[in-house]
Amino acid sequence: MNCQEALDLLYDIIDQEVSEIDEAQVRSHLEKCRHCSEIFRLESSIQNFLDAKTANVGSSDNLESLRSKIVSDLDGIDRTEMDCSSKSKLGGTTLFMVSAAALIILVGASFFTSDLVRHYNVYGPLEQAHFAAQLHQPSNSVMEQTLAAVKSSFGFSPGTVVNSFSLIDARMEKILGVDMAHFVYADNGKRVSVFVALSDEFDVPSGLKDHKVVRGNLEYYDHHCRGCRLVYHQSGSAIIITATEDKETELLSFIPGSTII
Amino acid sequence: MADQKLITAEKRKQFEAEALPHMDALLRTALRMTKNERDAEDLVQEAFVKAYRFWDKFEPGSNCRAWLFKIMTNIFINNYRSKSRSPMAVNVDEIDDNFLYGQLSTGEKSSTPEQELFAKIFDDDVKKAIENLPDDFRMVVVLSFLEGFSYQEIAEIADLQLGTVKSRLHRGRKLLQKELFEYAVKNGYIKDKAQ
Repeated sequence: MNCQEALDLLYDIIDQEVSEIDEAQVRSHLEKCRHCSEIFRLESSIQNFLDAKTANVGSSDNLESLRSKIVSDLDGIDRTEMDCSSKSKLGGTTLFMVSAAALIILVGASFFTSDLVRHYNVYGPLEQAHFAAQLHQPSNSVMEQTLAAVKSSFGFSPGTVVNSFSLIDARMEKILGVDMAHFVYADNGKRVSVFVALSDEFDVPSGLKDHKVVRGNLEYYDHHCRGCRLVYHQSGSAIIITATEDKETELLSFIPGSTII
Repeated sequence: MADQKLITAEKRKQFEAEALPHMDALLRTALRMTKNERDAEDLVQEAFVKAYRFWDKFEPGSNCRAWLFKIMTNIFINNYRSKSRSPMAVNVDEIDDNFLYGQLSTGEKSSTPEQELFAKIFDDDVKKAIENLPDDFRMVVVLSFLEGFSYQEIAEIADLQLGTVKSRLHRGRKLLQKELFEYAVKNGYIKDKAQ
C-alpha cells in the first residue's frame, strides 16, 4: 500500500467504516511511513476533539414544553381516528337496527354508509397521495420529465411559483387507476398537492357535481373532509385537483397554471 | 367502537415507547440544522406528527431512530433549507486535503502541537463553525458527528448515494478545520504559516 492509498482510507478508518483487512494494510503502511502516520495521528486527534466538543452540545431547555405540544398533537390524531371509526360503526349499527324496523329509514342509513364508502374509495386515494408526498424525496430530473410530459400530453402548464408557494416536487402516479401528474408546492411548512389528469380518463366525482362553486370565470367543485380538502376544477382537456390539509390556505385562489390552447 | 379504542391506544403506547424517546436527539440535530430554536422545535414537532400518521409504515424491529431522522431530514430539505444557496460558496476543493497538518506540523517527532490550540477553543466556537457549514455539508456532518450514524445510514436518511455521503463528509471536515483554524488565527492563538 502506498501513501495515496493509505490516505484515501483516512476518514474511513477514523469513522470505523473500513474492513479489517484494509485497516491492517493501512496500519502496516503507517508503521513504515512517518508522514502518513503523523497525518493520521493529527486527524484522529482533531476528530477526538470535535467528538468531545459536540458531545456537550445540549439540546434545549424546552424539552418538556415540546413534549407536551407533541403529545397534544397525538391526542388530536387519536381523536379523529376514533371519531371516524365510530361514524362507520354507527352507520353499520343503524343499518342493522333500522332494516328490521322501517324501510324508509333504511334508505337514509344506506345513504350514510355509502357516503363513507364513497369517501374512502373516491377521495381517500388522493388524500393518501397528498400525505405520502411528504415522505418522498424530490428529484430534479423526474420533475423536469413530468413537467414536459404534462405539457405535451395533458396540454397543461403548471407554474413553478403559485402565490407564495413554490414547486418542490413532481412525478407521475397511478391514482384511482388513472395516470396523473402529482405536483407538490410548499411554503414555510404548508403544502398543496396538485393532481392533473385527462378529463377523458377522470371526472369530477358524481356526488360533488351538485356543489359547484363559481369564482370569476372559473368553476370549482369543493370537497371538505376531516383531514384534507380537495378542490376539483376542469381546465381544457385536463382535470386539476388541488389538495391540502392546511386550513389557512385557500384552494380556490390557488391556480397552479394554465391550459395551453 | 371499543375495538378501535383499543387499536388506537395500542398504537399510541407503541409510539410513545419507541419513537418519543428519540425526541432529545432529533431536537439536538434540528437545532444544528435550522440554527434557531423555534424552527428546530417546529421541525421536531412536525416530524413526530408525520411519524405518527405513518406509524403503520414503520417496520417493527427496524431502526426507529434512523426512520425518525429520515422523516425529519426530509421535512428539513423540503421546507426549511434556506432557499438561496449558502453565500459561503467557497471552493472546498481548493483547501488542501491535509490543511491543518501543513499548518500545525512542526516536523518534530512525538510533538502534539494541536493540543495547545484545542485547549483554547470553546464548545460554542465548534458549534458556530458547524452552523456556518453550507446546508448540504452540515447535514451529513451533524448526522455523523453528533448522532454517530454510519455512512450507510446517512445515505438512507438523506437519500444520497454512499459516495456522496463520503465526499460531503470529507469536504465538510475540511471546511470545518479551515473555519476553526481561521478562528484561532483571528484570535491570535496561532500564526498562519502562509502569511
